[in-house]
Amino acid sequence: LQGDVTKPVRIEADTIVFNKAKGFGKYSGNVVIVQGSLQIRASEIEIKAPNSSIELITAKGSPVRFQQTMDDGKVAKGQANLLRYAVKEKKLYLDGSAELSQNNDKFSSQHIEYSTRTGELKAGVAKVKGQNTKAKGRVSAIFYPTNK
Amino acid sequence: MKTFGRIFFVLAILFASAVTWLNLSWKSIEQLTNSPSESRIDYYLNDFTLMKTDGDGKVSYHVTGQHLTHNQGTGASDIYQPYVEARSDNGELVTINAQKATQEGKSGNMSLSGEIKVYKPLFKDSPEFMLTTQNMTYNPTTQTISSADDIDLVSDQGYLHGTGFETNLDEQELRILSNVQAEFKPAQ
Repeated sequence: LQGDVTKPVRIEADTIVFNKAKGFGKYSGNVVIVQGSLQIRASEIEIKAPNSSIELITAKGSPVRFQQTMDDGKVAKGQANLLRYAVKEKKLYLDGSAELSQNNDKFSSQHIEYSTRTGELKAGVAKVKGQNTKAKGRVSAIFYPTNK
Repeated sequence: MKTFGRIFFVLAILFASAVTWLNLSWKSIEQLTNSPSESRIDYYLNDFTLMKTDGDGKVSYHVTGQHLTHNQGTGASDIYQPYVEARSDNGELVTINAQKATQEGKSGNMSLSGEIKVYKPLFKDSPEFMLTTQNMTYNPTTQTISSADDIDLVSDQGYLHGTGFETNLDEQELRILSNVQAEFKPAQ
């Protein structure tokens, strides 16, 4: 929801390590983060915040699960083995059995990129500089017709 | 024969009570002898301040308190209502309050107990925070603080609760060992 970002961020975990000098905080063990309607569940979440401003959030899990209620009331859900959110770019990267679903519509691939600024979604093999990526895995999408 | 028996009976009782009395008094006399003992206090301070300075005369930490008792045998000190001010190498200040502190002899490790408050004011870009717990060990030499108890950490960014923590003031690293619950204000 639009108002989620104005809500406090609630976090539960087994352990935490904060390192001011290296600029990171790592939550480990049954990590749950809630902000408004956004919920993220993972086994480990690391927040990189050099100079106290958050740059990158990395969540690992088997899988990481997250969900958020959209402004139209629909609940968007997602999961992946590795989730990265680049704050400045406002881009979400899902890797490893990645899935995005909203009501019955579902989208799955080994790699999904989603821009929270533009709403653009890319899926398929991640093109990572300096790594030759062998084509692996297919993109599958299921969209239910809306009966008008 | 009977009289002799009676006299002998009275003498035996007198002898027994004399030996008992001697035994009891000898124990209390022993305490007054000069050999160091576990519990003897050799000096006591009232409303005091102790400062530790580095080689170049800079105060690295100072302790004030209502009472200090120093134990002759172990060299340990008990400090009541201690207030510790410690400055890390980059000048960042941390203050510590507690009900009681025990400094374990020369090694300098200080165990604090009772309504402990660790306060760090805003310093450059390092936020202000207040940490509260019930028991804690502070090592002024390695600048490390640790506890096995519940802790609460409050700063202007939010609050954090956990059980057990370790922190190294120089490395600026804080580890909370279990049962973590936190709430942070949304980013502006």
